[in-house]
Amino acid sequence: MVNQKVNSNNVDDALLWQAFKRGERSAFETLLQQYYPMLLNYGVRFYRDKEFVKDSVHDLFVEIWNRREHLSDVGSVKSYLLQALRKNIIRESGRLKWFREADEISEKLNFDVEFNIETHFISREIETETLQKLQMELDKLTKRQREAIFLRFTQDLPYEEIASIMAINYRSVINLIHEAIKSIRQNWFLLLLPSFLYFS
Amino acid sequence: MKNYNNCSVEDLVLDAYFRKWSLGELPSKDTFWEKWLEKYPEKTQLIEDAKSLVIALKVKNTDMFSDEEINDGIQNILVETQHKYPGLKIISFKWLRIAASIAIIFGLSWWMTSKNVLNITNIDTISSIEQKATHTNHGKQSIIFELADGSKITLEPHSELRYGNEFGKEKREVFLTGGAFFDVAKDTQRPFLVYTGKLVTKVIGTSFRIQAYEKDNNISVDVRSGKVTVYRQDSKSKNSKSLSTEIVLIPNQKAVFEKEQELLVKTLVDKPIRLNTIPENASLVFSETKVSDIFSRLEGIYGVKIGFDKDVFNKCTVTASFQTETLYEKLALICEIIQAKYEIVDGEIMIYGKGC
Repeated sequence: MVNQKVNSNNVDDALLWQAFKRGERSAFETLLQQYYPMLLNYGVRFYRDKEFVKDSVHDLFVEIWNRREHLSDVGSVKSYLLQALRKNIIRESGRLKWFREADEISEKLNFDVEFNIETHFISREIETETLQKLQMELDKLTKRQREAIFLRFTQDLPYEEIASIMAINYRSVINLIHEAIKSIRQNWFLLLLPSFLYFS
Repeated sequence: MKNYNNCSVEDLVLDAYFRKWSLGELPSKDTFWEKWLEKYPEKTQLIEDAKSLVIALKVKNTDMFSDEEINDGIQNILVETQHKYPGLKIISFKWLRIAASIAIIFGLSWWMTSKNVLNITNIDTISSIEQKATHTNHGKQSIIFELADGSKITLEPHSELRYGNEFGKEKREVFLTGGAFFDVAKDTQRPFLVYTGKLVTKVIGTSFRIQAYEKDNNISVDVRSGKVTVYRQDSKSKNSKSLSTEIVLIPNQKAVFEKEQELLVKTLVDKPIRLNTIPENASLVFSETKVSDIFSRLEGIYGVKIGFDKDVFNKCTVTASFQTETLYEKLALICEIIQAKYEIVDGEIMIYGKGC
């Protein structure tokens, strides 16, 4: 966050956050409009229970509203909220009984992503079978790799922010993403090879 | 400009500039990558591979949450944070939600006479009723009570239900501010009327949900069981009956009243429930089943009409097994299989597509 380029988005975000902390309802509403859907989308990847995720996001916003005066300034509102939601979900799911025995709760939580293979399918005219095999390869990634990829490529967050959201260090994020891409790439292109020969 | 000559596929995939180009997010005058390819034609395959991977790595956004759910969620947060008691939570019992029977209504005229808190016109439509009873819930939990006619009301926090001396004599009229769940006792002789601003909900014996938050643009009525009549009451006209728009709702249908435009529209509830005795999680298995049969099966289960062109979808068959999916999730899946789309029109579902 420190090294991040100051762009208009961040400036707006900082102003918005200040206004929100002063208790301006319109700022709070803007925060909700801007981040509520994104947080649902993130939360549901941990836990495919819509009501649970809705409750978690609901509680998060109510909590930050009630504690607004005590909140510190944040570099990126988006990653602040993502991080807070992630913590809450991990904590809440820890209270659910079927998770009680787990030592490391976050290891128990899944992270579901579905890659955008349809687009690729259309542009390349690859057989459906190949793509199904590919989705299986993608599913073999670890949860953490999937989460890192989601944050990096879908949410477009920089590495530092991903590191703080996932509570791991900067280097680990880079490694996670690198290894994920490497393994996808190797399996992907092995799969694609026959169809390339066929089409060319 | 960075030197890309020794880049691997992985390096390119991670490169922000390359990603932007692959996803078509660069301005059209930026032709760096095109020129770079012209200069290094031997890299074409590498670039192609990296580009494919970038596109594929765009993780799909889920469409699990409807716009309506998102709006409702935001409204709930705003409502909960607007009052002065920090940390207070609007009760959202799961069973209540499942029953979809929370009614939130405004009792307008009462405030004028007793508390002069609200300053809202539209009093003349409501017959002058002497105040008999007021139920107010300032607590943290919903309270449940029974009216003289046996109707059960579950009143949410920060809500108030009022009714007059005349209650039950000829009509059963109530006014509500805030939220409540109505389970109305059946009485064909004395209709039960709920006043929500310009909207009146009239029932004989049924359960339903009304949402009429003051800050919302809409008032909505969700029907769980029985038959519900909803109509607009025009305060300016003496001949209000003839001018009012009337909608009759059956289970799983919903009326939305847009306050500003005063439009009353019929649609479906957010989460249609199974009407018959089949448990919510009983599985539905279809194997090479004609899609028309599946639709009529769903119609039976949810009591919702599904319209489609029989000739167009004549050849479509679906193999699928459903369990806990909502009606909309089921429809989305079926539509994906038969390459169709569905829409909710006037409280019914319409399927559009080119057929199989």
